[in-house]
Amino acid sequence: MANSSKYLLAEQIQTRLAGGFRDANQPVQTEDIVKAFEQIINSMFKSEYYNVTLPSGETIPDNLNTFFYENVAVVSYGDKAKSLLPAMPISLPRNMGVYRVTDSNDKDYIPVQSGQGALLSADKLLNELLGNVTYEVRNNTIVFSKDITLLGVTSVNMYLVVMDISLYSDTDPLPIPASMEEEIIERAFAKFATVTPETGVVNNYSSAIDKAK
Amino acid sequence: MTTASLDFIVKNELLKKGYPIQYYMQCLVYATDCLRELTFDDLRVINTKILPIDQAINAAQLPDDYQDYITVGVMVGQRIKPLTPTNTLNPLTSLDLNNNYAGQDWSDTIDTNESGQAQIYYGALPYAQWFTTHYNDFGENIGRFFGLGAGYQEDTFQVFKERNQVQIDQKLYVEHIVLQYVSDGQSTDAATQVNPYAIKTIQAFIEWQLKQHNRNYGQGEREIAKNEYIRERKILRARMADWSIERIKRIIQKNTKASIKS
Repeated sequence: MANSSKYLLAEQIQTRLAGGFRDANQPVQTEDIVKAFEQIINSMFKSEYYNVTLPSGETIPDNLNTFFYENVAVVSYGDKAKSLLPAMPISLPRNMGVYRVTDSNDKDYIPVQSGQGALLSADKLLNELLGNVTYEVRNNTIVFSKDITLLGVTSVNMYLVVMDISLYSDTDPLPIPASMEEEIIERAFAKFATVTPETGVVNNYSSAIDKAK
Repeated sequence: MTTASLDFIVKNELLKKGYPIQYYMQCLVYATDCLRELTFDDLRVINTKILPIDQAINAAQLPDDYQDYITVGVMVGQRIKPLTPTNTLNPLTSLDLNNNYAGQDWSDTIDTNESGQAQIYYGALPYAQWFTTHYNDFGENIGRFFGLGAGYQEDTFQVFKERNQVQIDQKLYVEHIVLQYVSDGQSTDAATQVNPYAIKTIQAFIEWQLKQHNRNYGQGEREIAKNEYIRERKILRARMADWSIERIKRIIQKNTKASIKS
């Protein structure tokens, strides 16, 4: 998980755009890049507005989005397996911040509340959960009930609920994995690389006069 | 659709309610509870299994989902010869100090040691003949063998749930028995093969339980949900009842016999 903020990333791009010498009167300003970040991140993570019905009556705050994280690595963890959350989801009832965890075929792993796995082991029908694999969220990791790496699963896809990216301030750590920062920077840089700085030279004096009138 | 799985029933319910998968586990637990109840009374899941007999103790292990027996029998060609339940078999098996099975004499003949002791019944009879009817309480032969029974019946069994075994009479030598039993619906087979008639009943039960275990619903809403479940269960019972005019007629016809003409 990265701790980069919009401001930090924007500074890098501004430095590159300015050829190493940043200037306050650059044609591309920080707020332009920040807005571009929001658009790029929303498109990269297939962001969707988060809307669910909760029978338990809790109110889900507005302005939440689900972000799609692809190919999150899974490693063996004793007789279980675990994955590191690529970003810290917001805290919701029933750990709903981790909205979905799926394999590459979009088949869901079943979420259970922390400690429920032990309760299930007493149920002779459900202890194997009809063949399904469950997971629990422990801090910033997800622990699967079985070692799914033995089944050939080396990565999973995750849908995490985070705030709308525009609600993160310029200095808040962004919910993006470190491995994707570079791609975001490159795409933002490419977006602004074609903007040429103002030279100050007026090529057509008469038309400039006309505009001034 | 000949059968439906609990997985399908629960996911279908979540879809209808618009709930996320975080509710899957809770609803699955409710669904299995409901399935268990339905299996006892309405669905009547009858399983048949061939059980190997442990020749050392002449008993077979009961299946995990066993609830009650319907028939215990022995295979004879295409048919099953039923064994007769009894309640006089000894539930105790002989174990040595290491809790291993120690062979014991399963014959009811008395060895010389025992017959030399005071192990007699009513003060006169060897205990192995306690079932006889030809002696009175004082050990006196009452003479005349009226009412002589069928003798020793070896085609008997007794289910010992505490041992999770069905015990066969010691003199019956078979390698397998056929057990037809009522399942509790908690085997993986049963859970993956739920009668589609029960889908709506199970889903109504889930909805009721979700409200029952949630403080946000009032008593009225809970009662409505409960009544809906009961209504669905009545429909299930009606669907499962396979009575028809033809069937009733056939039973009457089959049991109509010519009687002695006076």
